Amino acid sequence: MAEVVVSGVFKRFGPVAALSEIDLTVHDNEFVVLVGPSGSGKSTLLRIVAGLERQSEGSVTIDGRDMAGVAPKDRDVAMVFQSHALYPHMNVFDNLAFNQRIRGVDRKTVDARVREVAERLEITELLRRRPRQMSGGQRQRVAIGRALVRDPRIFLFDEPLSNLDAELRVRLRTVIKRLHKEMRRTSVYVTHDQVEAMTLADRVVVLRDGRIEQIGDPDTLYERPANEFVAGFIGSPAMNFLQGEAAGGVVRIGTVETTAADSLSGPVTVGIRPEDLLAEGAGDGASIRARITLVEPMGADTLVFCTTEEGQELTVRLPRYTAVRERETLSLTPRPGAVHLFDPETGQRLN
Amino acid sequence: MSTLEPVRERVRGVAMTGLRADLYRVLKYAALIAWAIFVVAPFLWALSTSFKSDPGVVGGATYIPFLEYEPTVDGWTALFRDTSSGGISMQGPYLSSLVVSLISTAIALFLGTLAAYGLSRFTFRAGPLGNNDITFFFISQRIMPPAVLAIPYFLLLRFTGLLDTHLGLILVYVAMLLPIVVWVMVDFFNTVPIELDEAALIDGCNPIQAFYRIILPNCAPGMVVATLLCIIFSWSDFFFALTLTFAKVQLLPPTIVILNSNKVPWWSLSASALVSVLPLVIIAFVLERYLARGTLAGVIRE
Repeated sequence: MAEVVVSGVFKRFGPVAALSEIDLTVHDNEFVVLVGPSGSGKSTLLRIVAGLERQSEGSVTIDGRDMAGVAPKDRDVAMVFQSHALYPHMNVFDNLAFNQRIRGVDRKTVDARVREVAERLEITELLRRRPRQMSGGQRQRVAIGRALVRDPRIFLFDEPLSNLDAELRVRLRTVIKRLHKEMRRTSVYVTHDQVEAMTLADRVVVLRDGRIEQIGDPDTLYERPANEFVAGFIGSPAMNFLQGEAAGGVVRIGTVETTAADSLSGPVTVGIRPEDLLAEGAGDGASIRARITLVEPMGADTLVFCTTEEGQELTVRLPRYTAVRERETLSLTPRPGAVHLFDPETGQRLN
Repeated sequence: MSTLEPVRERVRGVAMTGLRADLYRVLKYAALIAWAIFVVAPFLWALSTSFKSDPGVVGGATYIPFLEYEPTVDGWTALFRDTSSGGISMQGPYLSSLVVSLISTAIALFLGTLAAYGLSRFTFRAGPLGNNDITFFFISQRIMPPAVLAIPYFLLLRFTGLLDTHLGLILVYVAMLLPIVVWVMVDFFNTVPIELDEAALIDGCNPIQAFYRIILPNCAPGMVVATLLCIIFSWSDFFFALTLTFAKVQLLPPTIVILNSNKVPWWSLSASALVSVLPLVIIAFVLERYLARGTLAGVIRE
């Protein structure tokens, strides 16, 4: 059992507000990812939960107990840092054992736990090494191990994979996901990488400029982003945004029409994901015509970058075997029902 | 046969660079040997003088024992003889010097590392002044020449009744050493990433445990540098030892210097000089191996 409730949290650094009005409940055994661009306050929020930083206003409770004035060591949280922060003067075994020893756990238990965790993370053969004698990926494994040995109520991850190369990042991502499936511990994970957020999270919290933009499970975030920022931030390559005009239950984008609520009128921002633009052959009038500027074959599918007649850049994801060439013209239609409408002024979702 | 040409070319090229490398090495060693002689010669001279007596010293330079002068251990035994029997009775001052410099070094290290850790990790504000100003304030204590401080210290110690006591001298030395420790250690602590403190706090340490179990061990080279500087300064201080102690407490440097009176016992002077550098040599040897260890490599992914 471990439920984290953050309510009404503000954090100010002098006149700068790093976090404003944060309300968030992390349920028992849930994996919540805080995602956002740098400076969005996601790490600050994590550090407030950890007790490394004190909020200017609001409260954090863990299992109903107010954490005000509770030292990090007494919160029963374990944290994995971006810089791994292993103790350089200790070997791996001592790094893993340190938190048990300082808590006065007896030697036999410590020994058994360290070995079990080492086996689980496949770092047994590294136990006698010092941090500086290991690669980045090995160090981060040990850092995860250090948290596991604790068997804490809550796991906190502060961009643990950001310093690793792409391949290792993917590999350790699955390690973390599998561990969470097995151990089922409440986890809060900070990243700026939306792919990590989508793949790991039960629920994602999107932050921008210290405010929560949207909270939802990955599918909801992807299929029904609450505003233009979330729509553009989640998904790779990013969503296309076009100008449209709404009137009488219809949104018109150039010559293309899609249905919309009757009440909607005036200019709207139309968001279409790259895979929701269909290249349905040429010429039958109602389509967005765009000239291909670049083709990127990705293997499973092909990314096509093109420019509309109005000079707007579009990204289209086409099936693998679509034969397209640069300088050709595509006739694109949005997939019915997969169009996102946003208020051009506020950015809020309209449909 | 023509294919062999480039090979021979290359071989000759290697020989040429080999010759140049040899020449470079010879010059390098020559320079180092010259410097070594320059540094060691005074010690050798003192060593040889310490075994001489009057005739071997006053009649011009003598070098070879038994042939040019009659070696005697009188210079060495005089160190331990009572003043009444022509000795200098060095044990007392030696012990005093050891006690004063070790204790003041220990206190300065203890207070200085804590102060430096605080300055490195926490933000202090005093009006417009911040951490850097406080650090500078510490270091600025050393801007004044000791001569300026002698009279204030003298009055201060007389007022508190600590004149001519070990404690008084220790206090003065701590004040003198603290800036060195703070200066060296702030720099070292700044190179240790704060994530280590935070990892320790989350792992179960209180701030003090995080400091001495995680941060301090990773600053061992800094501690060694600070310790060496402190011991060197306090052990070889002459000025304060001369002005703040007289009869009850006598430290080594003044005791040795006072030997330069009307008739200088060069042999005892040499012997005591050699004995007085001994502790520094021992400490340097003991601590030296901690200096090189770059424990911090790999704390943060580079």
